[in-house]
Amino acid sequence: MQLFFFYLFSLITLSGAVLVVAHPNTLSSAMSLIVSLFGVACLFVLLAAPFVATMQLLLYAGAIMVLFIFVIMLLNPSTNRLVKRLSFGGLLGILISSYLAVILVLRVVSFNKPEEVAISSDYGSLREVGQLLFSTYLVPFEVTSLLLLVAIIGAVVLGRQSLPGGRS
Amino acid sequence: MQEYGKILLLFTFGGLFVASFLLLSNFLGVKRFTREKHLPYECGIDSSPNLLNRFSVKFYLVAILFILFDVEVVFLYPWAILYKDFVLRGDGLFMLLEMLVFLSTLVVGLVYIYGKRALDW
Amino acid sequence: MTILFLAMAKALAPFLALVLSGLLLLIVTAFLPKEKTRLLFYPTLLALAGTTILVATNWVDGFPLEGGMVISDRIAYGFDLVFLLSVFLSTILSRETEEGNAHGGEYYVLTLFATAGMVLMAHSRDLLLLFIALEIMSLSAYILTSYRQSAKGAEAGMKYFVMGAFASGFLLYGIALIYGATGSTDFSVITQAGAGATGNSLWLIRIGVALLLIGFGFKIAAVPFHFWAPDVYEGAPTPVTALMASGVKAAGFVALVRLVIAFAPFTALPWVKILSVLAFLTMTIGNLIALKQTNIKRMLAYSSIAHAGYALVGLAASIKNGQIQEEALAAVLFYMFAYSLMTIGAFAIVVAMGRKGDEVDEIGDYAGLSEHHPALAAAMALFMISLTGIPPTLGFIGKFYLLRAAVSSGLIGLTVVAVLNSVISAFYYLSVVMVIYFQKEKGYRLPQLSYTLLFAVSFTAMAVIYLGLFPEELFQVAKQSFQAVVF
Repeated sequence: MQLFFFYLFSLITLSGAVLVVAHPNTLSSAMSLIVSLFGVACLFVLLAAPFVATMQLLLYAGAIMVLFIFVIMLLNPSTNRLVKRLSFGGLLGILISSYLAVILVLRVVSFNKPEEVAISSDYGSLREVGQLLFSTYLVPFEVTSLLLLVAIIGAVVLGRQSLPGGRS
Repeated sequence: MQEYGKILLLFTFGGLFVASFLLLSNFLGVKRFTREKHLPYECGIDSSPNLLNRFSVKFYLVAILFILFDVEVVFLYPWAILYKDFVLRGDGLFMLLEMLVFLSTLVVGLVYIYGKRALDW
Repeated sequence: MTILFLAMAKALAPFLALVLSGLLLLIVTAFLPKEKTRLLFYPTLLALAGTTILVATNWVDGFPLEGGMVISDRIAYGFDLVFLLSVFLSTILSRETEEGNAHGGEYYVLTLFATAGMVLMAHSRDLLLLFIALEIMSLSAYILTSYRQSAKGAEAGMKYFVMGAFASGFLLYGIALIYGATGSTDFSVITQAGAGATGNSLWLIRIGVALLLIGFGFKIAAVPFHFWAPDVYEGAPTPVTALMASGVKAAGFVALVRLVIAFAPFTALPWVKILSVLAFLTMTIGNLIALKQTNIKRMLAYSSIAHAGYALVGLAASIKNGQIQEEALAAVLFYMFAYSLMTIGAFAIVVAMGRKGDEVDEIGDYAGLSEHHPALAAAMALFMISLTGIPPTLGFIGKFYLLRAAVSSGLIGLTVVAVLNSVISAFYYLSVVMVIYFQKEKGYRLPQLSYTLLFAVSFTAMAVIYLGLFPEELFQVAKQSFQAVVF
């Protein structure tokens, strides 16, 4: 049962990912990425990490994809300019990625199934993650707010051309 | 893992519902295509050939600010769920202060955005 | 838990001071018209000076404050002083550029936040906190780089950001592997768990450490991870370039120092070999490419790469038979201090040559500077001599301590390479001096110098000479920073 869902979700993830690369329209590529990210979120559920799964949906499939689509609309890349030509860099990329693929496949084929480890039912739950976040990792949590603040300033500073009274 | 069964059920039935209605209307609907029906407008100027016109960078600013505050809200979920536990353990006030510190840093960001009129058009 | 957190807050006092003053200035900025940007100049300097005093008194007190993920030992305070000094000086430079005057107070706020990030990097005892601190610093630096709204500034910021994000990927992957092997991100737990690690988990740690080295290698612009540096240094506003060459680089080195202290004893990697090769490549390639530069900012960028190489020699010398050599690490700290002073001095003169909103950065433009402004010319010559490493300047002393440590760790070959590199570097440093003194001027008139800029130049020049003659006390400070290093 578990295995069936694993393959189902992997199929969703992979087919989404293939479409991202293969689709000629950039906007459709971005949409396929949502499908792929949704599949990854489902895989996180299978890994008993519901919190990460929710975040994956909320932040990646939700918020960050909005940003992707905005960038595509901002830059408006015309589809016909994306001519596929094999360059040296592309060739190198193909070589490296196929090398990686071979290694991964060999590794997976020769993989011994590890012993199943019993984990508590609320492992990876929101409650557990929160417990860690607000005890051990309290300082990084607080400091993250500064990181977000710097990002806010950065967005405003770099986009300031558009602000009222900004330089054009 | 059991509770996900319901979600899965929801997705399955939702998908089936959409698919069946699409198919139904495809088979039962009456279709008569005329030239006018294929035009985007029946009168007036023809629409620009390029569907994707460039957007103003302002949209992007709004989007990225939305994401940053979205990330902030994510941190509120576990806190809100756990807050009762903290109170029972006697850490309630401390945790409240912690969250206030976190939020006030970002409120400063909000004040900054308002002061810079970054969300005005 | 509350008590633990209070302990952490106390250990983090310098960081908190910087963040709080940054937040205050940010609120002011929100309602400040752009023309009044320069009102924030003195408050920023005040915040930096106040934090410096706090750090200095804490260093003198000496006993390490600890709490959870935070450690405030003398290593952290020692590097804090380098960060604060370089940020202080580069902020002074920005008074003379358009960024510091008319583009909004975010410039100063981001400077403070970048400093806070550096300080937090020095104080973190946890890989996760180290990473977030690094991101705070880097994100501020990316924004500062493209602060000038020009094609060049945007290009520089974009390159810096993409390469920085790439480096962050390496760091995160490394942290994840180490966490997977040891179950913790805390240095002290990792060293304990790692000491008993064998087989696969030891290999995971080793690969993780290698990825961390690559990530921090990007940050200090070590060859072969240096490609971004020249374009970014050239495109950024000069004060920001000065900050990147000094503070940001020192922050990368504090992370590397912590990494060596935590991981070198148990990972049984060929640390000395790895670091030696990195140092060799960084010095040699940095110096060789610098020979061909005609733009002074690019030249100083490659020189900055080369100097990171010299400091890496010290890092390579800090491990001898799996034992940490405190004196070599002290030499690295000393060198970061020395290099920051010299290079900010040189950048101060680059700023002085330009007018507001306009930079003059071709080396040929310095022709005849000795006639217009003999003092400024003398100062530039001094910084060039110091960067080459000729006595009696601070640059010579810094190199001397590094190479002494290298010799006592048995790295004779690397020492010879470093000396040869100094000879190569003399060509391009001294050619600037030649241009200043022996070439006919091209009719370029130097703009009026302000008092703040004169202060920056004379302060760095005097420090380079004074500490070049009497370095012993400062080196003692560096040495005491590394007494009994543990996690």
